[in-house]
Amino acid sequence: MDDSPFLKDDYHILNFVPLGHIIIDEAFRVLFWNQRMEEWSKIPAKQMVGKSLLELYPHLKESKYLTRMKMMFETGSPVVFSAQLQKYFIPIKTSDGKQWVLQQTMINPFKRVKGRVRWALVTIQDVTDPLTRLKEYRVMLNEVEAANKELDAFAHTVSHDLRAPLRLITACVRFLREDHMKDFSPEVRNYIQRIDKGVRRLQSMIDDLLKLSRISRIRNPYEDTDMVRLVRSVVERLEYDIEHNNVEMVIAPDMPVISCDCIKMAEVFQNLINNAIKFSSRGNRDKRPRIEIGYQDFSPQEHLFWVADNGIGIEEKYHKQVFELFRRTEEAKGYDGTGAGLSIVKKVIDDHGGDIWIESQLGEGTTFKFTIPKKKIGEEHG
Amino acid sequence: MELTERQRDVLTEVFNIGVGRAASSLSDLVQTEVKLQIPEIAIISQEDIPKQLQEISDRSLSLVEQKFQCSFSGKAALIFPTDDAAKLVSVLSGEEIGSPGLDSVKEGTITEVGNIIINALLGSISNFLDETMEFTLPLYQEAHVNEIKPIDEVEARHVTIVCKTRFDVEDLRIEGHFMMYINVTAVDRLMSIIDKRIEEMM
Amino acid sequence: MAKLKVLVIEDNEDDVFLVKKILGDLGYDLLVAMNGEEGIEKAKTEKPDIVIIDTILPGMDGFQVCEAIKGLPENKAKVIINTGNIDAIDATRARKAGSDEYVAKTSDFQYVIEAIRKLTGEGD
Repeated sequence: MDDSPFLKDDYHILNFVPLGHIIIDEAFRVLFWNQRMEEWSKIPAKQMVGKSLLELYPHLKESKYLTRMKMMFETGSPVVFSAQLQKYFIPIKTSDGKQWVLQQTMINPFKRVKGRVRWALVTIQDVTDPLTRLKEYRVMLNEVEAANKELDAFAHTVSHDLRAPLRLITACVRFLREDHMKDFSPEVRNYIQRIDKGVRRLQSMIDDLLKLSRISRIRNPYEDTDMVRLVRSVVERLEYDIEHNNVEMVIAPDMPVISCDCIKMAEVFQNLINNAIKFSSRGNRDKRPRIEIGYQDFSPQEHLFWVADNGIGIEEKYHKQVFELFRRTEEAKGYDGTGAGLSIVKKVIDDHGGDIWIESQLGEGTTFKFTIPKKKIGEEHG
Repeated sequence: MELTERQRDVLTEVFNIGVGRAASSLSDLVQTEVKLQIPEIAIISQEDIPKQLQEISDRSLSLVEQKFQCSFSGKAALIFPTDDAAKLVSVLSGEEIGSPGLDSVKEGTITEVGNIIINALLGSISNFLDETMEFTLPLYQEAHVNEIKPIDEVEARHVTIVCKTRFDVEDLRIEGHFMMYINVTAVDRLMSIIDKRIEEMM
Repeated sequence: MAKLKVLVIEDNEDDVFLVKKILGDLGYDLLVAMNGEEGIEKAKTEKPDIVIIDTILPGMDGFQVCEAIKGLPENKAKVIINTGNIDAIDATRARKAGSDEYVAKTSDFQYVIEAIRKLTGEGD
């Protein structure tokens, strides 16, 4: 059909869009085949025009395609073929030849003559990348999750099994110290003190490891959580220490409702506030210890929360170290009043997809700031 | 506006024809039996729409919408709680039911499902009225139920035909709501044609 | 005042050593069994006041042993389940098995001692 109106200028503009466009008539003859379709099918428009789409691509005769396309011509209702439920509309291989181009296809009838639909516009969108990337991403996610689970189980088993022999050593050292030190030379007493110190250190490391592995193992589903109520209930639990240290607590009233693991989030605030209590009550006794918990709408994608104290502050070189579990310097360890607390806090924030950092100088108090991604409605979370 | 029992029966019959077609279309598509039923039909006034939507979900809703035009115009939508839409898509595409949300690819899939249902139901109506209909392309929308404004043209004298649409596929049962938003005159016309048919049957 | 008779059912030698020293120092009359069957037998014949059972044992586990002892006719012994790993799930099992206390093992057996005192009204 050399004189098809479509080879002229009328629909020429459809050649400049990155979508595949085909115009067909009720007999499924091709009236227009745009540039993108030429590239994909490797067949020039001149060769396609006038041919039957069904003959060229016989799979379209299957009822799942044909019935709906016929109904479209009869009733005028547009048809959608999605990438997940159909393999493709037109079989096209990707440029590396390794897979089919996955397509989201819409067929829209237009041009009615005497109430009957004569022509329809097929629009094919290449969604290969998002779909395969999504599949690859899911596979990777599964693998990472499996690896993490194994690691956590390992950490749990290790720390659990280490405790029995440790109990024995701790007890025996205690028996020696309580009842037999006077029988020993100063040298032996020295060795025993050192064994004792080492064992205590070991004990606390294993307890920390166990705590951390427990946090990882237990996953709670995300819920919409009123942060003001959450923080208030945590503060209530710490009431004794707060009063005992005469701490002034300021909680921002404008904190939002966010989607999170509320049990773990409570643990985050408990650890940070506990830490703040310890540090603001030390050192500088001139001013009354003060802890402020606040919120800022950080960005369209993230919430920002902070816990600030007016204590001794943390030198900048330790700002990253304080969150590590082991391998911390003695100095850095001194800044985590809760033992493994800050590592746990960091783990929970990381799991939520957020970031945590410190703003502090020596002598100027410390602010722990962390972000939590805002839940986009319907987005995968938790 | 209340439907008499007879009117309800006829209307249900009309929609059931459509839904039957949609079910066989979907079954063919996913190579698994998909059952579709309309267990309930009601006509509600415009003011009751927000409450109806709240009943569907108090959180996020997924909608596939198409506008249509015959001797009257209106808007049709298939509505699910977003989590249910995600489950339905997973089961239909043969994947494990995983995350509760819909990514852009899954949106494409639910659009196809919505398109099949809406076409079938509106097609049934247009057959019944013996009129030709024109449609717009299906559009996917997702929003928190409190933020939804499903009706652009806020004209007072519109009503909505609401059909509960029950999907049964594999072990999953999901209920969507099919809503047809049209003006009162159109509904009156629809009802009078229904009444005529009822008389013809007697 | 008669010495309290305490039966310890524990398969780990080190824990047996520790419990003998610590509870022995407190003046209790100690008996030891290294598995469930032996423990149940001794509970029958010796009629201890307190039975301390480890959760992990060869053969029957601690919960089963607890149930068996509690089920003995004329049993008056209080049972303390002693574990190296406190767990919400195990706590429920301990309760269902009829134990009077469920405590964690520590190097000084502090919780066990507190439990004994609580159950016998000692020190009140």
